[in-house]
Amino acid sequence: MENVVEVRRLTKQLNGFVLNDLNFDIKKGFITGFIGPNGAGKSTTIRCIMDLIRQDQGDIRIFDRSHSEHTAKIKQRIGFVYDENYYYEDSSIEKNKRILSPFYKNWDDELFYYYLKKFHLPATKLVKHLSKGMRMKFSLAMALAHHPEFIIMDEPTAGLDPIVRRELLDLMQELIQDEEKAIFFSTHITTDLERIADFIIFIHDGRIIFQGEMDEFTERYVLVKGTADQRSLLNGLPVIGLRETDVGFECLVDSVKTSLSHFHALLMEKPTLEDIMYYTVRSGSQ
Amino acid sequence: MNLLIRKDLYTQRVSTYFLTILWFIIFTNFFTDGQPIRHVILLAVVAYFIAISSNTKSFEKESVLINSLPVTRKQVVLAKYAAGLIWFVLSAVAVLIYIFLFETFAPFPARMMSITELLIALGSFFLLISIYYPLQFKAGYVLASTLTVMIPVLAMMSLTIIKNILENPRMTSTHEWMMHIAQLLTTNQWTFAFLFLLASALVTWLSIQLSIRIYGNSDFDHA
Repeated sequence: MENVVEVRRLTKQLNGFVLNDLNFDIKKGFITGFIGPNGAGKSTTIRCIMDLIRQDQGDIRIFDRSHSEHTAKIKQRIGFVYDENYYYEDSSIEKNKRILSPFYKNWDDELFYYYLKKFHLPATKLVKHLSKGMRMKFSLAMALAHHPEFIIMDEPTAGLDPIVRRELLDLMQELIQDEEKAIFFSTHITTDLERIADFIIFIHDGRIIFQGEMDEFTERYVLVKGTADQRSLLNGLPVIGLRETDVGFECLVDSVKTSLSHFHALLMEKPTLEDIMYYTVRSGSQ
Repeated sequence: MNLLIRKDLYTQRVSTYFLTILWFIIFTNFFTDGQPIRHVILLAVVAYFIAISSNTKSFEKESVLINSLPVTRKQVVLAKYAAGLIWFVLSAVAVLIYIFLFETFAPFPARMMSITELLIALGSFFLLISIYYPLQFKAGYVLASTLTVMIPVLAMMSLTIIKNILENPRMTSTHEWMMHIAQLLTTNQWTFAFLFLLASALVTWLSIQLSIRIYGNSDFDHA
């Protein structure tokens, strides 16, 4: 599998937050989900990949090139969907396109208008008058109209209604069909990833907790539940994010680190991505 | 780089052009004073005002957009300084039309700007933006514009002080010295304009290097 992005030992200290020694790859032909709670470092990592933030240490290679020497060439091949609106709010969709499209050698006007039509976006409407969902769609149309090989989306589904979210996820799956593109998609809405992601990178507190195939991720962890009387069975075992109530307990277990045979007397369930994220974050705060 | 300059031209707000009228009022004493020096300052300030108006408070936010486009940070900085020339030419056209109208219709003495005066205005304008851009790239629009707006104000104050000295009968020696300097500048105006432009070019070059360094190391984490 060809890597579109290779991140090695990425470290960045920014406003009291530290991205700590990140190593990961993004593969061509797949959707890689980047999950983590708010403030985990998702946007900072994405901005490092886009060279909007300069790393303190480490190396980021995109299409086997580094930003320090080939940033313009790299960005020609990237479609970036922002986490909020950065386009010219007082200008229309058409004017934004007129200003920004000449920067891209492969800009395809026909494709841009195809997306506008598909998303029901009126070209004459001012960006500031677009709803959040429409802005996201506009951002997508701008990002896709120059035939990018690598699409980065920073929290594209945050704040969108379920219908728009579903449309967006369908579009991502459509885009990846030719196996020539890579999509890197950050979110804290884990159900989106369960639907479309092939690979997962889970970041928490500036560190990568897990990276790998989606199925491997959900199969690695087990949600263990038991009654209050069974609590002692956990003694001495490395469980994640133990949550106790008067009647029982719940926790997550990493099957790579702990044998599941210790828990045969307890109820074991397959966790959702949200469960894994919740218990891991809880574990960190305990 | 041309695309970045064109972007600045496209995104300039129409209100900026209307607001420049304010500077005409201030620097021509409500359209009653046609001294050439006032026109030099007016031209430099109008061009400067339009240039910095294309870099308003939204500049930090716009930087995220611009730097995600296929351009280098060096190109972004160079485009800002290069766009200055376009703003200057536009302002020069506006100021020259104003002077023409003033010269034709106003009952006050006035004359068209000479080429040396235009060159001095150009040099002054680039000095202003040479201070402004590194400040903006480092500390943002608000601080940079607040600090640099003091310069035209100081220039106007200096002009008034000089005028008062010239008209003060108790300060004859200072008066004579100033007249001597004025005479010297008038007779050697091409030399003066050339030297001033040279100094301005040097400062601009230093400012560009500094801006490239500052902007190159900036993090665009606006959210």
